[in-house]
Amino acid sequence: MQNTAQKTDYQPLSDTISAAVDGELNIAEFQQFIADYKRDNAVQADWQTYHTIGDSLRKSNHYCNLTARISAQLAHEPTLLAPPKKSRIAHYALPVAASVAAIMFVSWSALNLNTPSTMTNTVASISAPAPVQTAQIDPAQLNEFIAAHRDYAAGVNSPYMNASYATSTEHQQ
Amino acid sequence: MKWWFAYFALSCLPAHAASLDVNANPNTNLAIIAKASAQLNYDGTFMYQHDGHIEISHIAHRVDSAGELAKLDALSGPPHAFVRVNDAVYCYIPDGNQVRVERRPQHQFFPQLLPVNVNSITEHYTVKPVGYDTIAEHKSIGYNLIPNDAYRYPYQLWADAESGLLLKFIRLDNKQNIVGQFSFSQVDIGQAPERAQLQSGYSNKKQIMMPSKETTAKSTWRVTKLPPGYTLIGENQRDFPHKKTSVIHQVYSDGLAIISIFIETIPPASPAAPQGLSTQGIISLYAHRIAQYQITALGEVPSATLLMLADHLKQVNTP
Repeated sequence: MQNTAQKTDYQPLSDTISAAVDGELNIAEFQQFIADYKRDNAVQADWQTYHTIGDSLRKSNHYCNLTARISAQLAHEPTLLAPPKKSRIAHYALPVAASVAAIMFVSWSALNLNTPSTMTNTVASISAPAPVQTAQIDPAQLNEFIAAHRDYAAGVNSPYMNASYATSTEHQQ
Repeated sequence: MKWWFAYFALSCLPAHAASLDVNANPNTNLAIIAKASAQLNYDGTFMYQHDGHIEISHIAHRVDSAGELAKLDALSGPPHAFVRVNDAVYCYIPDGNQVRVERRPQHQFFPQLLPVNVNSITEHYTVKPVGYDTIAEHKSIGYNLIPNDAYRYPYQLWADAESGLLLKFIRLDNKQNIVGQFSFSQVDIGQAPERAQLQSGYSNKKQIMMPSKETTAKSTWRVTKLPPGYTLIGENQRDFPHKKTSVIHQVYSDGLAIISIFIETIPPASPAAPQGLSTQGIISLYAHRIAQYQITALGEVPSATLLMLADHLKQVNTP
């Protein structure tokens, strides 16, 4: 959140957000808008509001505030991580989405492997009373696997995460 | 004169353009939707929401006598672009005065998410109409894809009722929660984007071709019993920065869900390799060991699918 310190004179007007929602900005304007979006919670709230308005105007029943709900769920996730190694990441390109995976870990429980609860919930296997052996996949290595997987799977289109971007996303999170 | 005009207008439409009817056979409509994204001209902006992120991209797609041309520009995150010319996908990453260019293996872009042959989907998912809605100012028709077994997750898709172009694609988990969503915020359908619009846009920078990170290779590893509908769609060897030896990467798919299996040799005297199951968001992960090999399976599928694949992974004598 260090970015909040460097406020610029540019304040996105409501019609800029409106134009962004409608896909009417050119790339440069859009990038400025994205920068504002990342920096300013008010812009994020307006963005959501404009979509809600748009969806209700179009009588869409399928809108849901994915961001808020997922963020809320993430907030309740336990943090189980050692800090990721940063030294070598700078040398290699990684997909942006892989940062999400940095909080994945693998736990092993011989007792519970075939029961549905551990299959869907890592937290359950961690907090299970039975002795549980946990080991952790190196997050950098896991990111590389997920990056390779993303080459085939649709979705995250960002092909690379360069060092500077990696740093900035970490600050934001 | 009127009829002549109508005939002329119709003949200008691509031959496949067929409007969707909610009463028509859902599987027939799905086949139209699957073909539309490859055969139509379109130009639009879409969002991909997942794991608390929103990514915004612009896609232009043109079909002409030279074949299929598509360009995807990232409008959020670090700048980069993908250009696809028929089956070849190139990724452009600007870096100062240079632009790094890398040839990619097959890479799917929204809205081209359905396989051209939808039989693999209709055999393992039940296609149920949802109704009509308006998406990006287009009248759209919606379908739920409900898995017929426990080896896949459900999806919901919305397509332009007139052209069949996919406008919204929702990934759900087995509790019907939305875990990822692609959707056009604006799209023009039917008008071919100019060829110039489909160039990388980095012609003023020095191009540096990057070596491909993987080589096609056929290993002796095979899954002897696959979950229904899944097939091996790709296999290669890949070098990773943190690994001394290259890793075998196998890719399996049922047409929608994609699974990667990584097979690597465990170096002697290395610390105990991680074992077991994990999930994060919609990605499941399963790690286990076969003799001196570490197997890591991951994908946007239920854990049961990964367990079945990994447990039936064996080395066979003939590749």
